[in-house]
Amino acid sequence: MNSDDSNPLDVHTSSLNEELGQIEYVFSDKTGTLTCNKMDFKRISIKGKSYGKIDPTNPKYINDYKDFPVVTNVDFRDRNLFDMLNNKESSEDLKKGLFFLSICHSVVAEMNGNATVYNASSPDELALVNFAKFCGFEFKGINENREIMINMENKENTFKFLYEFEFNSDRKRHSIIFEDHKREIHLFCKGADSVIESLLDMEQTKKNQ
Amino acid sequence: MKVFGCDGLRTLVLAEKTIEHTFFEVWRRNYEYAKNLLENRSEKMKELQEEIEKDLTLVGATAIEDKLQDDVDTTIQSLRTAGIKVWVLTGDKIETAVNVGFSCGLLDSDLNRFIIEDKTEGQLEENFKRIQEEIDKVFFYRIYSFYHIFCYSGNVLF
Repeated sequence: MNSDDSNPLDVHTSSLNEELGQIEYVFSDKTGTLTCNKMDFKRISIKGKSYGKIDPTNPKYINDYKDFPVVTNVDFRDRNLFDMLNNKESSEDLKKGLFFLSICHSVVAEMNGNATVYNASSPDELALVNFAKFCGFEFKGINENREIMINMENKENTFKFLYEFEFNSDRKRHSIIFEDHKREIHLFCKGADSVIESLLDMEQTKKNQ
Repeated sequence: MKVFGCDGLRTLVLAEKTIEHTFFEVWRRNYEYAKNLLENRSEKMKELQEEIEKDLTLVGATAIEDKLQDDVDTTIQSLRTAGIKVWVLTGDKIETAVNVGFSCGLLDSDLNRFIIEDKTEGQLEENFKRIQEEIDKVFFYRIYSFYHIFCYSGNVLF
């Protein structure tokens, strides 16, 4: 429906009203219908410590993004995360979490001049990769030697891409296997909590908490 | 995790592990072989993926917000005033679904809410019977209320 004069509402049949009046049920899906399907990254929790839930009156609330990389799909205002990140002794786990988000996804990066443009199959994925970039862990794509390029805290790093198991509605998780510069092989897996829970080594997880 | 879900956010869990070289070499050979199978290829690959995607260590969790469209709550209210029953189908986890239900005005705290979370048909039938009895009891004096039932099973609707 358009309310400006160029294209006014035109009534062709009045029986439509009666038909509409007979509706008893409306079935709606949620994502993209009730909601905007515009995902914004809000919170992250690493080793039991959660960041992102912050009141605008809090002095740690980030009011403007001028000191941060320009990204879409991120609405994260908690400066506590960046304080933690700059603290050398305690930032190890947090860095791993952010590195995780920058490497474990199905986003494709394309160079457009000097800027990297992300192509993602879902806005959720875009939100995660952009959040990593927002925190200084920028995914730069995969090069011709099948190496994943990540810029971490202004240093270029490459990781040898080995395998990827893609997300689908049956698996409800996405995994990547890669080799780091110490020749260690890692598997990173992200997914729905109901699924990941059953894949965890409980002993190990408890020790790390 | 539950807290994120309760705030109507979409959550993901991150987990990892380091793989030993000797294990990996054997696994890789099997996986490459499975990739080229003519029969049962996808089953075999799935099996091998599951073999390596286990004994993970928790790294953390993330939460993403998907904002409601403008005027969703008033729209749903008018549909309900018109006597139209509104159903929402979603693949969200229960906490998120309930929370979105509240924020878009589909649910309010006056409504009786039943949650069915069953994986087998037998359980499901039993639960429906129990709820039917409950509804019959309450229906007597709450005749104008709507009953919202969340049905959540292993097969998730998107």
